[in-house]
Amino acid sequence: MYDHNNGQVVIVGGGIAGLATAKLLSENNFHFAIVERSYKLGGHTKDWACMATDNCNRCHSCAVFDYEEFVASSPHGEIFLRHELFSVTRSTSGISSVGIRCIDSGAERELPVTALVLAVGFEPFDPIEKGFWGYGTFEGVMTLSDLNRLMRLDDLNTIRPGNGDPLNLAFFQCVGSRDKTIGADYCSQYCCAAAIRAALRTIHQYPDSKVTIFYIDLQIAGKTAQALMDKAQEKGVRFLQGVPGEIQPIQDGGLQVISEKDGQNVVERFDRIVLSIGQRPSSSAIAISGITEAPLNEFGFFQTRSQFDPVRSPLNGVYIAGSCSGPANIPDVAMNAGKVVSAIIKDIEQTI
Amino acid sequence: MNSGSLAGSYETMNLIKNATGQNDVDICVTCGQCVSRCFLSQSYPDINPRKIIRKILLGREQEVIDSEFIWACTLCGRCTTDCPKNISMDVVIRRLRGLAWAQGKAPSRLCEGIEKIKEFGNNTGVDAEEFQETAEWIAEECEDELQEIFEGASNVPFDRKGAEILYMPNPREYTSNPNMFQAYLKFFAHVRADWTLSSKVFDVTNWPYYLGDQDDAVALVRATVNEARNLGAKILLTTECGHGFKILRKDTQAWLGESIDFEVLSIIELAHRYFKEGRLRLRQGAINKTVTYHDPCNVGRKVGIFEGPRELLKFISANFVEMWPNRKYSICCGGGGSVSQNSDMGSKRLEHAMWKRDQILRTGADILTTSCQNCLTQLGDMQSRYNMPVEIKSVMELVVEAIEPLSLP
Repeated sequence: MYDHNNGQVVIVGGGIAGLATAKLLSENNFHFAIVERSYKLGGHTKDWACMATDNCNRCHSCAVFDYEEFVASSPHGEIFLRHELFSVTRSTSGISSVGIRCIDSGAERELPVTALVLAVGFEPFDPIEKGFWGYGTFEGVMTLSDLNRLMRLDDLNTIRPGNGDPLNLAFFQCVGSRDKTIGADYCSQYCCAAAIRAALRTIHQYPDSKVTIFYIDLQIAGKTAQALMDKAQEKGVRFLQGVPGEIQPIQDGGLQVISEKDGQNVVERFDRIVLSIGQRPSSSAIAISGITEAPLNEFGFFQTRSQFDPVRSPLNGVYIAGSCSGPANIPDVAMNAGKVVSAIIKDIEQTI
Repeated sequence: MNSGSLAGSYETMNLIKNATGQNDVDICVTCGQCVSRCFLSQSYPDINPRKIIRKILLGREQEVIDSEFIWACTLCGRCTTDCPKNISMDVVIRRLRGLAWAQGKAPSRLCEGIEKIKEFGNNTGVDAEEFQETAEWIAEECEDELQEIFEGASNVPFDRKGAEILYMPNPREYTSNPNMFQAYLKFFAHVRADWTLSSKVFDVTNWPYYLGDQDDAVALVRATVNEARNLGAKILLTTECGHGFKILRKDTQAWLGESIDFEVLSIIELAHRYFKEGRLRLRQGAINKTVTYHDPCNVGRKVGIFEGPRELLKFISANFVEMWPNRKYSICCGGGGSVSQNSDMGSKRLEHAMWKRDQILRTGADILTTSCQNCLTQLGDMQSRYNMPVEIKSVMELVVEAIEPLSLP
């Protein structure tokens, strides 16, 4: 049998997809090297707050800490922070080595490669692209990740009205998702459940808060979906179909929107509006695709061989992990890592 | 199930599909953004853009065809600006109007206007001779000012073959609002424009477009294009008009199925171009007031002219302020898309314009400018109705006030 200790898998990206893949590789006696552009591991998940209320709401953001701890202490791996991929050397069966470079010092080194995993993640949609939501213009308009940051830093009190009134919060779903005009005609998968959890978390911390979720249709499924919806309804989260297309500032510092309710158009005031932003392809996807020649799909995510082979790039020896092949939530990314590692093992065993 | 009505809706859907080219209304995901961006939402609680799409899909388009809403709609297109599925509501509404018109349910005033266009070539019923006389008379009224710019500037050129610019006015300029025509004459004189009017085609507007009467709309465009070719113009210059300019600029090639070998420009674009080239010299800060700009839907959102007029206004005014929202998301004045011309709508267009009124008042501006005759009419009417403490002018009127006279050669 093939001794996995002889192989080294290079993983581009140290977010949750890269970490989950590294953990599984390590458990299967592979050497791995993580090449990460930023100064820390964990990617976007690291910025996400725990959504537990009186019990766990299964946001799975804590998983990143377990992965990181395991990977950082693994004897099988090397971690290159502040490094980026700049070249690949091809062999007949795929890629034999990659060149990486330190972003700060410019120092270059060559890493031998048995398999190359691209796990460059996603880019949060920047709502400034769509000016009518007033993001960046009005203080009260924030994104779901801004809200998460506040929760993470325990700063949720900063968005409560100064006069002691209850916080009146609205979520707008599908911001930057299912949108042809920006080339993102797809569902971003994570946002409905994430918004509901954030609503519950807000109400848990400040039970007088009023939360409205404006949605197109709720794209949540799975065995935990109904429990989440039941809890949201029990806690008084209001769901309104239809997303207001515009936010107007009003004199008292609040924000006004128009929505349709029971066939009538209603004007409503909120203290804060949270835009549930979708996932766009990573800003480094184009560069990485250029270096490796791993092709991108129509949306700018990395292409995989088919729906039924969702982790192999059409390019031999290259595997696509996590949300760089399309929007995904944390549990999906973790499961996908298992598919990546089993594909790598299978391919290696077939070639020897 | 009533299969007859379903078949009907397929026809309507196909009409709309053909009109929009690629997208079909059944792609709508009912996100509802259009509802909150429509300034008619408050006035017509029973209907809104999203419901119109639903009704069409459910085979109930007759309810929409019979509704006042389609005639109150200004075709401003704001509801579906950045529609996630690229639906163009103004195209949908025009198609529905076309169906209403075919059923004899179009507003009478618009139908009369179209008859006049067919007979006289313009919607006011002024004939060629009368037009020439009126234009010359309006020029005479400001003869001294024009002659001061250069000797002979008060001669209005007609049918000059080989002139660089064919200028296409709005009938308001030779009927209700001759001041505008005078402002343009002064502009032409100052920049020593090589221009002409046509005595055959002298109406930039396109009322059949409003009615969804595509054949007549195309015929008008063809007549204008033929006249520009006949005179050998390099620039077909439109007045500060909304839909007329937008059609000539944006739809001509698709509608006629042929390319055109001249430029279609709005006079504000030409002014901006000449300003950049140094041919139009303006006095910086000449307008010692606070000025704001209303983006006309056709000039702004539909054609994409945002920065040119702003550059001019920022240069000539002491203080320039923006409304929110602006540019692509500008709120319609409430008078476009035939609503101002449609006597059946009465003064409702002013009641529908509250968003615009509040937006204007919030700026605190002394002068409100815009670059569309329709907007100017509506904003003027709003000003008197609501006593808005603001002066209303076209961008070109203000630009002409700020012109630095060229020293004579």
